[in-house]
Parts: sequence; structure tokens; C-alpha cells
Amino acid sequence: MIIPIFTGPPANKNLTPLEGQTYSLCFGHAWPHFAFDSDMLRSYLPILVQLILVSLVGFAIIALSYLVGKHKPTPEKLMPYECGVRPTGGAHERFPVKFYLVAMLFILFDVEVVFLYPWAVIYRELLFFGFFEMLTFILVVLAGYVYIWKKGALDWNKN
Amino acid sequence: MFNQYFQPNDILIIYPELLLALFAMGVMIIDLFLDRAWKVLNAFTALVGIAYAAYALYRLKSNALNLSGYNHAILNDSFAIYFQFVFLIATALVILISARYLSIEGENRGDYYALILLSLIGMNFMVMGIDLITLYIALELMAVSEYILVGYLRTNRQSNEAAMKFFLLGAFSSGILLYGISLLYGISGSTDLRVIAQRLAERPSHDPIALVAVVTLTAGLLFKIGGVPFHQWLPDAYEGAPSTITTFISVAPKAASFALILRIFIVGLKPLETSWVPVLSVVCVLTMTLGNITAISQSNIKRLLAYSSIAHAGYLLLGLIAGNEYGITGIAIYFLVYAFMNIGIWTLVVAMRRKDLIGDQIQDMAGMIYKNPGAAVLMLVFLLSLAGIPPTAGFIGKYYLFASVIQTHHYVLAVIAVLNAAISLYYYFRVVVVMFMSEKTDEEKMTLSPGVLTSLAVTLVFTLLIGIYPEPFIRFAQNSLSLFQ
Amino acid sequence: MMTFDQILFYALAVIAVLSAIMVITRRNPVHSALFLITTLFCVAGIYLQLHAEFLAAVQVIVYVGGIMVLFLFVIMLVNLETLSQERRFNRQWHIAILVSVVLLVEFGTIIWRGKAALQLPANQPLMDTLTTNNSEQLGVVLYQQYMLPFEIASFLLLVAIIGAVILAKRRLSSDGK
Repeated sequence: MIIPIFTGPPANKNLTPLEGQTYSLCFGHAWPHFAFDSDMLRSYLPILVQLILVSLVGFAIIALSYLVGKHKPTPEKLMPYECGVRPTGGAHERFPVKFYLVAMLFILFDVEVVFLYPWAVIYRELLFFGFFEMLTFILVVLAGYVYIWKKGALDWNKN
Repeated sequence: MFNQYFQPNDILIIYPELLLALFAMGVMIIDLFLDRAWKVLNAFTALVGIAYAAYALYRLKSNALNLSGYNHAILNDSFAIYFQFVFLIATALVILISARYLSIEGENRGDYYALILLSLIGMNFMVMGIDLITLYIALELMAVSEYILVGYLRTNRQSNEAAMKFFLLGAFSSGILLYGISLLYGISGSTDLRVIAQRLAERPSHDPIALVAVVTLTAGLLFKIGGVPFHQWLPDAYEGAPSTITTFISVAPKAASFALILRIFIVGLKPLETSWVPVLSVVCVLTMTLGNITAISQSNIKRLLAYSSIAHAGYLLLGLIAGNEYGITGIAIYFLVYAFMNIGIWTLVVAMRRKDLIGDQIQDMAGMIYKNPGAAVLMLVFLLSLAGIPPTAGFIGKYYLFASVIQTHHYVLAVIAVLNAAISLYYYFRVVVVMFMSEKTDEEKMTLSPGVLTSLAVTLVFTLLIGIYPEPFIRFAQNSLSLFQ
Repeated sequence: MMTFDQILFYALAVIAVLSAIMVITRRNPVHSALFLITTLFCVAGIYLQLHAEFLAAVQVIVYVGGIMVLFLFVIMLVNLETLSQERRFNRQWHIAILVSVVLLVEFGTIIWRGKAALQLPANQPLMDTLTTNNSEQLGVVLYQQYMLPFEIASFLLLVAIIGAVILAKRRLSSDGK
């Protein structure tokens, strides 16, 4: 059963369905035909293979060096490396709150940019309507930007 | 730039909200260029914005009634217009009392008013929306502004803690609400409430999924009005928040959430009435009883009023359970009345705040009749109105709500409601006794700013006027019956 | 016999739930944050299976990319030594688990019994979600049919910006004292 997150009006483009095609990867032979619900998912198969391979390789490197290498630990070797200087204090230094503010504002504008992406994809259909629509959206967020700026939230040395 | 999705009419319908948005951003930006001495100008700008919006709304009432816009996302019916007027009145009164309170707290900045106006926009869309996505986004706009406003006092730990609790529980309840919305979309394939009602009517009445959708929607929505058992956040948030913000969130967002509940239940979930009426009846009894009984033992006036506000949410649920014309009119008139009497009493609590006195203990009011006879008498009037004693306005509201459940033969509910109203007399009069019969503890008199005086005058006049001559106000409230169309 | 789709779904779901449990049981908050990343990735995978490609990408960019950075900053903001000494659960956790399990079973049975209701009506255009570009469809719906919620979202962002500044400024001024 498939629940689409968004269902739109009927598509106006007739894309040729990928039914029955098999994907050949770098191994040179046909990839087994998995029972996917659709061909869209099959196009993500290489990413899945990549993910599995990457984690296998990562795991293998650590495992091999653990199995094959020699272990002669000394206190100096186990010490955290700080350019050869003896480390002082704990590793968990508290960050100033400024970082938090920057990260927070980053996310907010990140979300704004996310809205731009599907808009750009169908801009040809929307034209002026879409232009003014996005302009309103951005102007409102821009007011927020002026607010941040004048409040000195972007000023690293203030406070 | 116009096409089938966007007509010139669409801009007309949201004209009041556009004005509010411009003023919200304006007050936010102008504040950044103002000197400390001129900060009072912010409140003035916000008030001008509300006045403009009220005028635009008045024009809309004659120009664009029952027009739906933005692909049936919003509907400008007289129900929406009525509630928007209530929000505008409540917000204007809150802004009147804010300027002085904020300068005592040392937090007089423009973003406070910007947040109030932005949450007002959210509330307006909440009552206009007939599409679940619009309703949800509007609800979040209102709620997020509220969370920030509750924690607005930067150096006050209690305010921060209240905001934290309110935010965590609020976010959680929004998640539950969203789950219900997604299930409704799942079974109906539409986000339009009217289409959902059609599809639900075609289905068997005891559809398990629809039941889950109703339960989760009810839980999420009851949180917003503080219905038992989703009320725990309310006393803490009301006590910790700046008093002016408590005034605001105890009236306007509550009215907006109730209007949203009415719209969802009466329009969208009408076919499932048999499954939500019993649930709401239980919640209604619990809310009234728990609110009133807990209020008895409170020594802090803010907490007492918070529990009384929970009890009032219980009374209001009676109107929804009845679900007839009397009940809806009752809810509508109750919120108009509640806006005046509740803001009146909270204004007095705000006015008690001095540089050296928080003024939120009931004992702080001892001997008020000797120190500030005017304020004590006002307090008495508002308390009588909250208790629902004629000739004050509170009586009219309670009369309609109680009568509506009698009309629909929910006699048990009516009896419990009347008993609860009797319990509430006890704790309201406890405050009166402290004010009138105790010895005064200090000599310092209350100082009232022009804004507070105006707000008190308006609330007093309307609390008495609606009580003595209710006809025009009831006719005004009957606008909300367009919900049934 | 399960299809490859189902195997994939159950794998993702199990990993997501297990790492979510790890998030709340780890004593070191940095470990919790790392497990949260795994959960969010698995959820992105499930979005992909639901043909919500755009949502999956946004999940990775915004949640895994942005919000996790915020989490890590907040973790580094607070004092880790004192935090790891504190109790992670309050006294009510036994009751909470009981209530949650009861609720889960209840919702599970009800949804299981009524799952036929979630089949889409025949007139819904389902096929085009399988053949056309997901971002394109999202755009068509969001910027035309749901243009009002989209514009209201900009005000939501504005409120969030004001809130972030008010929140952080409080810390900045109290740090200065």
C-alpha cells in the first residue's frame, strides 16, 4: 500500500515508464530484478548499494587494523594529541552562546531556501505569479533579517 | 499575475491580515531606530494597526461576506468576522495595559508588539480557515508567538520556566493534532473540511480509523484550551508569564482555539457526532469540576484565575456538546463577555505590579477598599461577572450555555454545571472578603497609567452594558450561526 | 515471501526505533545526538519509500545537516560534567512506559482493524506520483493550491527569527554580568 505524501493534479507530461528495465552496475552484469513498488525506488538502488559498501569498508578498515596491527599501549600514546603539548583541562569546553544563535539563524534561513527549490523547478509554469508570490515570502523573511542585523545578533564581538 | 489560483478577491479577503502584517513588521523595524524615551510609540503604532484592521474588517463585513478565497483555504463568513472582532478588541485592550507594565519590567521593546500582532494574524486565519493545512499553520503561528511571549521576561526565571513547559507540551500536543489531521487526510483524501464531512458521511459510523482521528484531534485541540486532562501547563504558564501576556493568552488565543474546535467539529466531524459527544461530555465535567475545586485552595491570584479559566473552558464546552444554535450563540457571546470581564480583572492584577511589589498574592489585596476604593469596586464587578451573577455580563453568557444543554436534554450536564457555578462563588468571594474585610497592610496607593485607566473604563462599561441591555450584543453574536451553513 | 521493498522498510524501521531508544538511554548526550542522526537517516529512507523524494532530501539537509549542528552546539553550551550526573528519567517513568505500551497496542489494533479505510479512493490521481518528478508536483501543489499556507509560513519563520534573537540575547546579557 502506498500513501503519497502529496497528490497533485494529473501530470501533463508523458514520461516513458521504466517498466521492465534492469540496471547494470559496475559489475558488468544485470542487477537482479528486485520487486520494487515502482521504478522510482529502483533508481535509488545504487545509493543503497553505496551506503552498504561504505559502511562495510569503514568497518573493515577498523576491524583489520585491530586484528592485524600490534598493540603496545603506553600512557603517552593513549593521551589525546594536542600538537605534542601535554593537554590541560577537560576536552568538553563550554561553547559561547553565540554559536547557538548562529546555528539557529542558519536553520531558519535554511528552511527558507528549502522553499525556493520546488519553486525554481516549476518557475516556468508560475511565471509572474510565482515571482510575486516568492517575493512576498522573501520580503517577510528579509524584515526578520533587518531585525537580526540591527539587533547586533550577527556582530560577533558585541556583548 | 492573476490566474485560476489567485484572484483579486483573494487579496480583498485577507486585507485586515495584510494590514496587521505590515504594522507588525513596521513596529518591529521602527523600534530598532527609537530612543528609549520614545518606546511608548510602539504601543501606539500597534494600536493604529489594530484600528485600521478593525475598519478593514468592518468594510469586509458588507463587501465580501461568504466569499471563499485561495482555492477554498479560507472562508470569510460572519462567524469568522465576529471572532476576528473579538480578537481585535481583546488585543487592543492588552496593548493598552502593556506599555507601562513593560517599562516597569525593563523590557519595553517593539518585538513584543510585533509578536502580539503576528499571533493575531495567526488567530484570524484560524477562524477563517476551512482547510486543515491552513488551520494548522495558523495555529502554529499563534502558538509559537505565544511561547516566546510567555518567556519574554529575560531575567525572570519563572517566566523562562513557564515558557519551557508551555513550549514542550505545546509542541507535543501539536504533534498529536497533526497525527489526527493526517489520518483524516488518509481516509478522505482531502484537506478541505467540507469534503472531509462528505466523505465521512459516506463511511460506516463506527469506522476505527475515524475514531482514532477524532480522539487524537480532540486531544490536540483540548490542550490548546486547557481542557482536563490536558490542563497541566496552564496554571504554570499563566503564573510565570508576564501578567499582560497572561491577560492576552487567557482570552484571545483561547477564543481562537475554541473557534477552531467549533469549525472542525461542527463542520468537519459532524458525521461522527455520536463518537465525540460522549468524549467531550466527560472532558467537560472533569474540566469544570477540577478547575473549580482546585481554584478553592489557591493563594496566588494568578493561579486562582488560571484555574477559574480552566473551569470556564468547561462551561464553554457545554455549548459545543449541545451543538445547536443556542449553544453556538452562547459560546460566541461568552467570548465577547469573557474578553471584557477577564481582561478587566487581569488589568487590575497588572496594575498591582509596582517596582517593589509583584502583587500576585491574594493577601496583597488586603484592605483594598480603604486604599483604592475604586479598584476594589471594579474588582467586585468583574468577580461577580466571572461568577455569572446578574446584572453583570457573565450571567448572559452562562445563561445561554446552560440553556443550550437543557434544550438538548443533557440534564445531568446542566445540573453539574450549575453546581460548579455555585462552587466558583466560594473562591471568588474569598477574594472579595480579603479586599473588603481585611486590614490594609501598607499605605501605598495604586497608580494607574492612562492606558490602564482606558482599559478599565472600557471593560467596566461593557461588562455592565452587556448584562443590562444584552439584545444588540446577542444579535451581534448570532453572526456566528453562519457556521451551520 | 516478503518483497525487497518490505525487507527494506522493516530494516529501516527497526534501526530507526532502536536508535531512537538509544537516544534517550545514553548517558553521554553526544552519543544521543549521533544516534539521533541514524534515526533521522532511516526516517529519510522511509520517506523515500513513500515516494516523497523531496521530503527525504529536506530531511537530510535540514534535520541531519542543520538541526543536528544546533543540537551539538547546545550540548556543548551546557556543562556536560554536571549533566551526566543528573538522573535522566523522573520517578514516573514506570507508569509512563506502561501507559505508552497500552496506548501503542490500542492504536495498533484499531489501525490494524481499520486499515482498509486508508486505501485511497479510486478517483485519486495516484499514478502521477510514480512517474513525474516529486519536487515538481510538490511545487505545483504548494505554490498554487496551498499558496496561502505557504505565505503564512513566512510569518512563522519571522516569529521564529524574533524568538531566536530574544532567546539568545537573554543568554548573552546574562553571560555578560
